Amino acid sequence: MALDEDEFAALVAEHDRALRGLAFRVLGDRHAMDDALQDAYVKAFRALPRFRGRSSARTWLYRIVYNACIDHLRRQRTHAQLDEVAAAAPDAGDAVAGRAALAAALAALPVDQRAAVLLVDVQGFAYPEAAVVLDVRVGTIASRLSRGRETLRAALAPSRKGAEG
Amino acid sequence: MTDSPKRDQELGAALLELEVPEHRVDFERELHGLLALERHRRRRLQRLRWIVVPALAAAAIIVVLLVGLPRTASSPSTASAARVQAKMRAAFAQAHALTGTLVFATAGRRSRAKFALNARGDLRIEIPGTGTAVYDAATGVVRSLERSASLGGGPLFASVTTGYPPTGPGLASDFTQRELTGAVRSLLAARDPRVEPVTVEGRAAWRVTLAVAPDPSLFEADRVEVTVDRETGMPLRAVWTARGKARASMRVEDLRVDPRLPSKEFELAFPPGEVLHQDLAYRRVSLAGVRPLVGYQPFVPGTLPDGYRSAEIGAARQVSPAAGGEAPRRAAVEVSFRRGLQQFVVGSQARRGGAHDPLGGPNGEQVTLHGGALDGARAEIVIDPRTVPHLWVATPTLVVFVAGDLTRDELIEVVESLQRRTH
Repeated sequence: MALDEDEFAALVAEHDRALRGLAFRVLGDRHAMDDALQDAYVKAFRALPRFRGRSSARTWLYRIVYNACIDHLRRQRTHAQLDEVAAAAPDAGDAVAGRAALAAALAALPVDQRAAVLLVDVQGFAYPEAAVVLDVRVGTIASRLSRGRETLRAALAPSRKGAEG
Repeated sequence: MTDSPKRDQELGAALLELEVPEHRVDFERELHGLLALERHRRRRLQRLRWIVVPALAAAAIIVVLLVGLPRTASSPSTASAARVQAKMRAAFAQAHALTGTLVFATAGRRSRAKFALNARGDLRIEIPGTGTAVYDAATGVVRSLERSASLGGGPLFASVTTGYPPTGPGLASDFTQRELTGAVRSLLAARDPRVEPVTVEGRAAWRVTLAVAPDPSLFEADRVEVTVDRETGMPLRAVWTARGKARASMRVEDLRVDPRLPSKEFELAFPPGEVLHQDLAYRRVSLAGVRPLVGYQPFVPGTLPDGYRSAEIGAARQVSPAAGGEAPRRAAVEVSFRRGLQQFVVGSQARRGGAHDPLGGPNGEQVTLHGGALDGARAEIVIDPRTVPHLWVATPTLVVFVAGDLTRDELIEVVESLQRRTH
């Protein structure tokens, strides 16, 4: 199954918001998010003639975007260490009770755990599909999720208590 | 959205409430521009396939291979590789001209192209039944007479393309060209190539076999074999394979080193009729002429690797999208140096948004520079099958790069000696 340009445009339009979420949370910076998405969309467009439908179009596009984000992270090491990028401050829009702590906890996760949580728990990817996007084994997805969720649940706990109390 | 039984619904719902930034205002306009460039590149590639591809293949064979084979020497095979490298380096650095016929085959198509080139960088490509193109390096002009590939023949179309950068039509200026040459450039990056003596049409030769990173955008090759003539040090044949299956091959027939070339070898007369004109916007200028054109002083190396001499300087206020590349370039400069048939350039251009590799290469090795106008800056060295060997640095306003036929150490040596000069 090949994609034509109209189908590609529709695919991007359908997933752009979710991909913005993934790219922003992986990169921690709006400008980097846009740069990575532009690179990814151009790469995907260039690769259209070779898309054979072996994976779903969504998985294919997410994989290209994730790889573009990782490329950008590596490049940012020119100016900042990876850990500093990962620990970028939460966006101002997250500064609502509870959200800021969750955003900070998410930003503090290693990139691979962050991506697994975002794909499975936020975007609803099945484990095998997330494994294709991140180019790892399904078991690796499970272990990354386990560690990532543990940290994030701890960040959620105080706000839950507040809501309950 | 698919639902997974192993999804943490509560956590997912909380994360979904986090802010997702909108795109910047110009995002869509920029993206449309980049996609339009990509369409243009695709059309151009289809239209010019039979002219440009062999031309760049010539560049691949002639300009690229020499930079070398791996630098480790811990085993008999790498020791042999170093010997091949030395032979090829000498051959390319000392040659003044080269002629031959390239036979290029991929995806069931085969083309032959007669080529000639000289140490000034001039190039002539002649493809029987298809057309002829000549490139004048001193002026940056390509003149071509070609039949329409899409129409399957017909009359010859005459065209003149002015304003090529000093890297010309066959090296760094076009993304696809870099991809094609890149497979051969993998010779640079390999750590442990296998070198074995072979005989090709009665001539003693070496065959170098390398595993390469699969390149999904071209042949998807995972291996390249290059056969090098023992006597001349020149490459005779390259074969790209993927999963054991040949994807493309290129060989050189009738190779002649330093032949006597006709005085008008790099000229091309047109028959009466319409001539199509295109301008890529680079102008040949002196060092003093760079600043008035682009608004800043160019970067020039204080020291040059042995044998390299100053060649052309090209500058452009706004490079035409037809020049290819990853994105529209502004305030672009290329200062070129040549050694025999080898070339490298020191380039610079206005920085666009974040820090991007101006040659669109993959991630490379990070280094800190010590010395020169960029002292203390972090640079990235990219030696990879997918691109020209290069090093790039981002300053607050410019992206500076050194690219071409240089080893890793030479790239660093050149960039650490850069100065801002106008004469």
